Amino acid sequence: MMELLAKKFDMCRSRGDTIVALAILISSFYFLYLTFQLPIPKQGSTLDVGPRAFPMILLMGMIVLSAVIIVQNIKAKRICELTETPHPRNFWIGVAFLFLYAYLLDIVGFVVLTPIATYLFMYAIGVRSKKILIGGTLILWLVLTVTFPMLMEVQLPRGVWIFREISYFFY
Amino acid sequence: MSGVISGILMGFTSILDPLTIGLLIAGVIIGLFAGATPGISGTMIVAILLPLTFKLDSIPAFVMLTAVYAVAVFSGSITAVLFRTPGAPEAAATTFDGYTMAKKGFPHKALGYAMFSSFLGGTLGAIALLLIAPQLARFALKFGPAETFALILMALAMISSLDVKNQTKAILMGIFGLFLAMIGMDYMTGVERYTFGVPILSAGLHFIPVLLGLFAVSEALRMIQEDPEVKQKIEKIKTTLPTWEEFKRLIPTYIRAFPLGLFIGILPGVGATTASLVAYSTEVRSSKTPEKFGTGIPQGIAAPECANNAAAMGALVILLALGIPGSATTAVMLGGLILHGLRPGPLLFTLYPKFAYAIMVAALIANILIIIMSPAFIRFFSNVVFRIPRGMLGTLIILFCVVGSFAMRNNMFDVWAVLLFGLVGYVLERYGYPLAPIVIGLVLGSLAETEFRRTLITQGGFMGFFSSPISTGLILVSIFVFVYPFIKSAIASRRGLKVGSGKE
Repeated sequence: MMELLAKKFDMCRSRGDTIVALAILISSFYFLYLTFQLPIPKQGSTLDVGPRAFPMILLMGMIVLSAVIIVQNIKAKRICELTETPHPRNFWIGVAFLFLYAYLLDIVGFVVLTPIATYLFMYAIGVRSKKILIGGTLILWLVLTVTFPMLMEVQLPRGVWIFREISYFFY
Repeated sequence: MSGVISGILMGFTSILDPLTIGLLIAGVIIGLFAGATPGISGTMIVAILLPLTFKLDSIPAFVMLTAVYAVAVFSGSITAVLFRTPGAPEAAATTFDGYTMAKKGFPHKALGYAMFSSFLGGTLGAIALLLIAPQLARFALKFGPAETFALILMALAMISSLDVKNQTKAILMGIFGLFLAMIGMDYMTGVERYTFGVPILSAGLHFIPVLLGLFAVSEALRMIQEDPEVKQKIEKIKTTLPTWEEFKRLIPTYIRAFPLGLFIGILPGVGATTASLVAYSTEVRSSKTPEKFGTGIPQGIAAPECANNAAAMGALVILLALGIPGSATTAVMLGGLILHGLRPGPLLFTLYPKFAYAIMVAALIANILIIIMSPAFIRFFSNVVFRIPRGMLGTLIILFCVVGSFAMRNNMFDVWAVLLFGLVGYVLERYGYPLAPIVIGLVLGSLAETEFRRTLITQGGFMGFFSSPISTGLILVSIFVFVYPFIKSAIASRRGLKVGSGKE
């Protein structure tokens, strides 16, 4: 049974896997360089290994392990592309909307920006039903507005100019 | 014994107020919903709920989270039985016989076995929690920096068993988590590390946005990859509990699965998923008719469901008694406890006995509520909730995480962090890098470093780690635990080679 499970959940070694390991390897080297730049305070116990030692051990561990994964992937045949489920059309546009939402939150404010962003995000990930798009946007906006600013009195970003004035109608 | 009884009474009295009881019931309902919805794990929902608990006192807040945690382990089996889609990873083994039994026309029986076995495993586990945890905590009071570091080392060594299929990646992710904990001011010297001049980073990378990003946002991004307008429809289902005769036939299964699940749960970093799979394979091995497994037999449902709920309680034992997370969800709860100003571990029972016993009693009640509330939930769930389109559910999760992380400190940095770690988590998991080790590393990282350095200073050097039998024993166990999977897989691959060459 366990062998069956092992086969079923066998990981695929793909190019993406190697790229991730390579990214970890490069960033580890960069952070190791930063670690060497850290100052060593003069005072304190002479037995203290200081602020550099622990991160240095960890980064070296990350370098070794990510290198091992890269070598393993190069040596191994590409077993399958199991993890490569296709992205829906505009998936990455949807992700970009999320970051844009975070960027504009301080300017446009939560009340006005959230329904616009929700609608656009759902559209980007492939929702086409008007009922889901409009109904879903309104329900989500209502749930969030009632839960956070109204019930929990969280001061969500109000935005600037007219957006700020609009937000005062709600919280 | 009288101490335990008075503790239990104290636990009961401290949760006997309308708010706490209301939150306990809400926690059970949320847990049922979270576990039963594929894509929403118990870990994710506990992480999402954490920012909402900041305004609450610690007892009602953690009574709710404990109820969510305890119940979500069971409710994953609902979709495992009905759709062959485990709502939570812990229910993966339940699909083997649960779904087959449902397909044969007995979904009500399959759900009944799952529900009763979860109730039994969880309730017995909660009783064990009440009996074991205080004793374990009393013993752990003898722990100094060397012992504490050795204990953390053991928890970290267990990371390699979190993903038995790819231990290198699991360890790499564990170290990555430890490294994330290094960001911020070094408390022993005041030196700022990797803050890039961002003032908020001086206090370190906040646990909650990282967690929300890794578990909730990444999962939601995966969820919306499937058809976002899809909603599943199923018939109304009734649940039938096992009869007395059926229960009697399952007693040997429970005798094997319960202690196994509890023990695996107590091991740091292993968790309920492993417990259910090991219990299932043990049941297959000990059966006189192993060929019947997979064809829809009660033992195939009872063993994993009893074991995973017992393991969930086992993980709570070490969380409360030693402050070590036994699973990803308990790692999230550990972060939450720290945020509420509580330090889980041996002192919890001395300084906050009311809190510790309240949590354990809540776990017991939540497990009992499984059997009372689940039948109605299953009817409701099959009728209404499964009609929510995935796109809408995914969007709700992401927005909840973004707003929830902002609500924590009223800071936009946390919003950026939640999105960034969501993307990181999505990419990592897409290529087979497990996320749970990152959380364990992040939670234990700064404590590990502090205790490591404190041991060096107070014990006068590296030999200080071997200054007591407890720390020496724990370090040796850690080394064994760390090395064992590698030796095992090396032996297995050599045997495989021999068999292969023999065939040729």
